[in-house]
Amino acid sequence: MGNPDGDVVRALDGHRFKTMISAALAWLRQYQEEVNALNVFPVPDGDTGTNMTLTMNSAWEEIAPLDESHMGRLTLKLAHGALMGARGNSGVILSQIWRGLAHGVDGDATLTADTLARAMRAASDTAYKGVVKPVEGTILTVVRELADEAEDVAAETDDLIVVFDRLVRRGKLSVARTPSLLPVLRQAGVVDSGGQGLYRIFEGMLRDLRGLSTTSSDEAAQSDRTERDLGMDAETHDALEFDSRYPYDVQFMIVGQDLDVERLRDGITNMGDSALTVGDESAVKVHVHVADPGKPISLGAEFGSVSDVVVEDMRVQYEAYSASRRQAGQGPSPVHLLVPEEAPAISVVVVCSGEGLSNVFRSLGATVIVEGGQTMNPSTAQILDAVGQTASDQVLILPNNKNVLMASEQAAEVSEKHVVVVPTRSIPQGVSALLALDQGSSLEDNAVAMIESAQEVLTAEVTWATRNVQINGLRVREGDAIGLLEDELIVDAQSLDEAVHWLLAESDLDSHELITLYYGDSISEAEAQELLEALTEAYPELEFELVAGGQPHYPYIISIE
Amino acid sequence: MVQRIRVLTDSVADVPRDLLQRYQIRVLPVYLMLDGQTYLDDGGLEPDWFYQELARVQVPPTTAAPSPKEYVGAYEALAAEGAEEIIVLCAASTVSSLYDHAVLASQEFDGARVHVVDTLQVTMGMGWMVVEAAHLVAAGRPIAEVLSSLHAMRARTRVYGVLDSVDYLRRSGRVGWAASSVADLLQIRPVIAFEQGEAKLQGRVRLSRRGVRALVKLVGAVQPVSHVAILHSGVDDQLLDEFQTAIGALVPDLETPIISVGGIFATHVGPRCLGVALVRTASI
Repeated sequence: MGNPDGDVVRALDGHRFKTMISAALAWLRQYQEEVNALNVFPVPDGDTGTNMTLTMNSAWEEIAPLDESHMGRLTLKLAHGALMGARGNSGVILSQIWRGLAHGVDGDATLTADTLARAMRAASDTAYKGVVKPVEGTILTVVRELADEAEDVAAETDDLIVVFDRLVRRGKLSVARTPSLLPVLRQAGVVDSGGQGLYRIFEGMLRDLRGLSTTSSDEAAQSDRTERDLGMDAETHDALEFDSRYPYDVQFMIVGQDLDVERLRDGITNMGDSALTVGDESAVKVHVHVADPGKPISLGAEFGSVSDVVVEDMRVQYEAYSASRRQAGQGPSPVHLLVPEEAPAISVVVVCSGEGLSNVFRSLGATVIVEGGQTMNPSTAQILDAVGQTASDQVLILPNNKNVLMASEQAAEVSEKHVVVVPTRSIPQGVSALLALDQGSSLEDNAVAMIESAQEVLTAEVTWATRNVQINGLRVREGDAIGLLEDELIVDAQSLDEAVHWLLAESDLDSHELITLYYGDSISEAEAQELLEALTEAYPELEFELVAGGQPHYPYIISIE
Repeated sequence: MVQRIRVLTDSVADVPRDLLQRYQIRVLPVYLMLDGQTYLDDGGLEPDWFYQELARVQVPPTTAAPSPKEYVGAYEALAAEGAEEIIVLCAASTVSSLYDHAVLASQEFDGARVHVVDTLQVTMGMGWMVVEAAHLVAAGRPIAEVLSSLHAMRARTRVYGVLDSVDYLRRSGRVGWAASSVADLLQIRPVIAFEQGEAKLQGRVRLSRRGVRALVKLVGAVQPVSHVAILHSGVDDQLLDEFQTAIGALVPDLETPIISVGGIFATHVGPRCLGVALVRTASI
């Protein structure tokens, strides 16, 4: 089979593969926001693109300083870096793919088409093994089909450019097929985010093999439309060099006729930094960092109809990101260490975000708090480091989020201490679990008692929809207040308070007595107090508790006991 | 009829009034300072009123042990009534100075032989030992046998309780871990065991019903028992009924009196607490 580029590459050594990884990272970064946008629920959760990019970045940092021509040794290092930086479930699976690939290379000095076929099969097998209940229509399906393709094409050619080209084509098809395999994707009208991220990684490697740029957004602009224009390179840059004068990250679309893009761009650029104004006379995408998020939106409204508004407080992101940087040994540790007078038999590492929630967990006996949660999932290395900071040989981890579970389990596996993960899925579950901690019992008995205790509480959460979606018979519009009960989106409302009322109305309150409202960083105490009074009046037989959680993204997290 | 041996205790014991009268048990009241007023905890405080005051007042009440001189006075009074031997049962020396005062007083007094016992217990935990002492005395047992029985019983006696919050215990400063604990940001009810002079945290619950469950489980784990009393500092009747029914099912052959704890003990644990004082059956 011929290669349209003319050149033939029959073997890759460590140096060559290293530049391909660098290219894959740069390319994935371009598409970080595209992947983030592929979220099943319209909630600020998960951030697969961010998680995969940070995982790849950690893998890259591990090999960047190396002068390693030996393919086998390089891939082992790569896998180690990915594992240490693995964030979120997608990042953990990605790290398993690299680990499997490294084992598949099996010490070969170079990578040939045959080696790649063997390595991709090992990557797929390892990824499947890393998941308790593998689900098709996810990144697992994509990696397995890539392994199939690698075997097929290796039988036909030894030209690696052809092999990678075929892998990228197959990857794209495989991703496109995910909604037909996984109903929840079909319902939400998206493809699988992890699969898409993996596809972009292979695409980046192929581009590098062909000598194409992976850092220019012009290149990307030709192959895709709007999402990539969010310029996620800028975001990574922001995270590294965050300017406190412009704490708000604002993004929106303007739709209209004869839009004066130049004039709009000038106006936007003068407001802050990292400005990006792209589009044509009919539609423009704006991304800028400003002190006052209202200003660019008002300006945009003068030009046309503003939609898809996303405003984020980067101080929160920055804290978590710089924490991960410091974690790599570049500064003081980001985790809060509460030095106990004497080492307890069992220490507890808790993942949560928000000063108030951290204080709650500390008051209940958490030893080390790892910042993170709904967004900004902490890495395996961060959790591992927190485990290392505890003075005990026995450690329990409360991930408090399903997206932090796998990284926690990885940390538990890698740690030299005796570590058990209590698979809590929410803040209320974490609180309830921690109450059951008994220093006199074994780690395993504690884990059993704690998960039992966690299951005695119901979790309700209120946030804003991040996009339009039709789900569970609800027609959710971006910006609506939405309510989740036990992770299920069941309420769509006009206001947060209304969402809370509906959630409680939908809960079986007869068998419960205590409702705790943890209000987030976007809610003032007076607003929370007002809601509390209304609830107390509506449910005189229940006891209510109001706690300043300070968590981002979720104005209310509600524990129903 | 003049009793040669008399039993004296302090008002931490919470022994029901009918038993005090039946056995002629003398109680030395402890002082209680509430809202600028000083009271003697001599049975005159109405429990429900006091629990409400406890929850209401800004400045929490404090307690003070009677002085050694007052102990001497109590010994003299009993001697004047014909007592030749006095058994003094004091609240746990680990949480109160009553025992020290009683011992000091005994060294200053020679009108009768005084035997001071550190019960290492509180509320009806010590109360059961007081009742047992009086019971053995009334049965004509010699003083040495009474004292050795009490010594053995002390190791089998426990109080379990669910506090409404750890605040009162923290403020009392009498229990190290509670005093140094961080203020609770959530409603947390500590489950506590008091045994051999030491208060230990057994668990933490958020709901009073789960507290009941935890207590029932603890009582279930120490069977068989010879004495059980239900203690509370103002919980609602329904919860109390539920608790008594559950405990009653564990010990169908025993009476389970319900006792409203006195002002002194309540001051240190706070209102809305529920508990149980029990004695394990002696192994033969």
